[in-house]
Amino acid sequence: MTQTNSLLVVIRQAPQSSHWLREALDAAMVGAAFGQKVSLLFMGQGVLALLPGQALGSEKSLLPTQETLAMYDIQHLCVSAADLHALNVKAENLVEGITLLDEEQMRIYFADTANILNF
Amino acid sequence: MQYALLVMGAPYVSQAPHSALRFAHALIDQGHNLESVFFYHDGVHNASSLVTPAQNATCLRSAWKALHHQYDVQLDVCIAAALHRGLVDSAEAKRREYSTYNVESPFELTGLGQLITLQQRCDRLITFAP
Repeated sequence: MTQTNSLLVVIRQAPQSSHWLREALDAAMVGAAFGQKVSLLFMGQGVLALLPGQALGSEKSLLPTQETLAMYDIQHLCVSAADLHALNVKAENLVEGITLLDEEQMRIYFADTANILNF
Repeated sequence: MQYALLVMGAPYVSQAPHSALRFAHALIDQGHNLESVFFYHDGVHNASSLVTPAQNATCLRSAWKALHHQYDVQLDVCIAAALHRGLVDSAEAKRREYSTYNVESPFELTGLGQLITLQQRCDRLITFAP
């Protein structure tokens, strides 16, 4: 069943690639503040944003952790299992609380979400 | 149908704004209604009064303004993304004591909440990204 107040924010760009990650997370947080039920899905090189230990010079860390996102009421952090595999990233190396989705599960996620923002 | 467009590519750098503009005219020609174009990420550069295209290129800024004047389409610009990239309107310039500004009406600086409510209110939100 599609929930009209659900928002899926898809992050497909590498974390240091322009301002994509920051601006996608901003949109997710504002969506949550506006009462949307927000999920984040990391695909392609976007999955690299979930690897801890990254520093970005003078910028504050953007690591999307369960704790920080829970403060904004964002509960669902998902990642494409196939894309993790393609980049040779092990699931146990990611931050905690990430749900791995196979292609069929991702298809269902996209179909069941009323609003999608793709970054 | 009620439409809104999300433009995330800079003019003359990405194809995205040009495609968005063509799509805007196509949907209006087919009798749909375009409520707003929301500029986010590098798309905010579309709102700059100081972008000077080559002589033989379409002036995208004028084309967006024409869309507003002819069809009453809102031109919303994300304020956070804009400030990050050196785009300010007269109010922000005054508040921050800058010597000049480069975002003018009909482009309007607004928050991301506007994007979220547009997506909820419109039948379709179409993204144009690089």
